[in-house]
Amino acid sequence: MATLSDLTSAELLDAALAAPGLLLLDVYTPSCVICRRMEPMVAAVAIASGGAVRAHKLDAERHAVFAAEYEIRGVPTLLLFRDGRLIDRRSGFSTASALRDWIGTKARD
Amino acid sequence: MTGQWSRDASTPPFIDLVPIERATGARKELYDEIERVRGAGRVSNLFKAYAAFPALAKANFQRLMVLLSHGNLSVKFKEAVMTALAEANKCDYCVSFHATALRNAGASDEEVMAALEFDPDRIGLSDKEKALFNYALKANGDPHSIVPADIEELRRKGASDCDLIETLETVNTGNSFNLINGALNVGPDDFLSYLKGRGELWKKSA
Repeated sequence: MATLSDLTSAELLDAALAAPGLLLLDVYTPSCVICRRMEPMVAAVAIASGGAVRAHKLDAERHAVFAAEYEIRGVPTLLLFRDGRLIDRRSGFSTASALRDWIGTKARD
Repeated sequence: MTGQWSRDASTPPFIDLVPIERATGARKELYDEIERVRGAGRVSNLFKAYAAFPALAKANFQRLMVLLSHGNLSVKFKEAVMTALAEANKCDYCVSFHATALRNAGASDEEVMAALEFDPDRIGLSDKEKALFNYALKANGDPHSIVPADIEELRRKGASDCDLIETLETVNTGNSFNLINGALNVGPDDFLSYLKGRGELWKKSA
């Protein structure tokens, strides 16, 4: 069953942001039902990318400073980074198809 | 590991799944009806559980038969949606059941995998059914996120009101089965072929 690894510490978050390439952060909260429904979509997209996109989830309550810094107003919020730099974001539920289209477009920019 | 197999592998179902040979009365009538439609021995564990309330079980089976045998959309589409929902809902039994049904509806192994990866472009569906597949996933994920532009796109692909209802009822049916199986720890049927091995692997690794 496809799931995302959770960045449970600041060290793990820093390491993910420091790695080169595309990184998709699925910002969630534990009580968010829609977040649970979207996680398999994000995981499937990352797996199907064959390593082109790394994806992790991040608890906005655990990482409150990060959430404030990136102005997380609601969950789920997806943050797309390239080489550690935020290149786009989207909020709310997205299908895997919508995510593939979105990432494909942004990766070409 | 999440899903029903995160329980101990030896955990039995939380409800009595009365076998075919021990069924009596209204339960036996239900089992007979299911065997008449699906074949001897093919009373699924889901309906053995439902049969604790025989009248409701019969109504639900009839509802399922109407969904699969009426309407405009292909059985392949409906089973692809229910396979994807089962994966999204982390119901291992439901994945095995609907992936088997999806193959029986003519899908290849690659198309079954595409359904499990939520990718309608690789399932061999019509353009309308591809769009409805994503509509189903969005309805399951957050029905209130569906906006007029989503419906306009479906209309451009030729979706009718009946198609929308048929799709949403496919979502409802898949979700209700996922919930019953998950909440009652109901496991895969012996007669399932596809992905059964994968389910057993999950069970051992839990």
